[in-house]
Amino acid sequence: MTMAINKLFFFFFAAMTVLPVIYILFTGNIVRSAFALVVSLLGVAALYVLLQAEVMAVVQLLIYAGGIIVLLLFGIMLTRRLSEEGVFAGHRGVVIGALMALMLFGMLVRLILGSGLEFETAAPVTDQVAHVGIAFLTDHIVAFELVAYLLLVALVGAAFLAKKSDKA
Amino acid sequence: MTAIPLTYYLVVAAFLLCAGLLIVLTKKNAIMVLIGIELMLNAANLNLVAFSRNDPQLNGQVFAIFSVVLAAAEVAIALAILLNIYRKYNSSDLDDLNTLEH
Repeated sequence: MTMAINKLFFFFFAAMTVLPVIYILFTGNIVRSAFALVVSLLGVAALYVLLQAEVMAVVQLLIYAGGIIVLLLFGIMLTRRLSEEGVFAGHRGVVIGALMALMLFGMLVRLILGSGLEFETAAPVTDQVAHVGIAFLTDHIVAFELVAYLLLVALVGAAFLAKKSDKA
Repeated sequence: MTAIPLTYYLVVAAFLLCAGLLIVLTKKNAIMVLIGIELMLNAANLNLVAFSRNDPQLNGQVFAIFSVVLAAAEVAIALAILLNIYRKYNSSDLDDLNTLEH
């Protein structure tokens, strides 16, 4: 019984992840693609929950579905004049691109299904927030501090680059 | 809770990767290309988290969180550059950026 419900949830959220991406592939409307990306990212967050990775799911919701999408929408609004019909963008090289992507997808699926990879049998960690916090401040302290500086520098740099001035 | 095989998650991630690649290759607008890059990063994160599901050290999740932070920095910088390109060329169409082309 629980197995069937698990599978149902998985397929629902996998469809929630995959279908908006297919919509993005076919539509030319940029604003609608950005909102389709939100749905897809929420589906990925739900898949993280199904993988029992709660911390990652919350990070996905906060940073991707919250922050990055707002940035993308600002980018769209600032670089395109919005008209009544919406903002459109065309395609190029569709045949070759689709051929390459389909070939890559076919090869990857073949490899994945033939690999026989399985989850290990060890039980997943339960109190993940504590574990991730301790991991950040012990094993990964150097990377943590470096990422903090990188984020600061990148955001100050982005604000400087986006500033309206003749010299920049 | 182990009803869903690991390979299902990997197939979803492979789809996200290939769709992101296709968007990067075929879309003309620079913001659509950024959306494609985000999808590819998500595919990598999904793989990392799926493989580290039973890791008691949670290393995959920690790595994925770092990668999300780097993606945020990347988007901020890319949009700032895009804004400057738009001011200079009055277009965010990648085919219009052909000053070096002869």
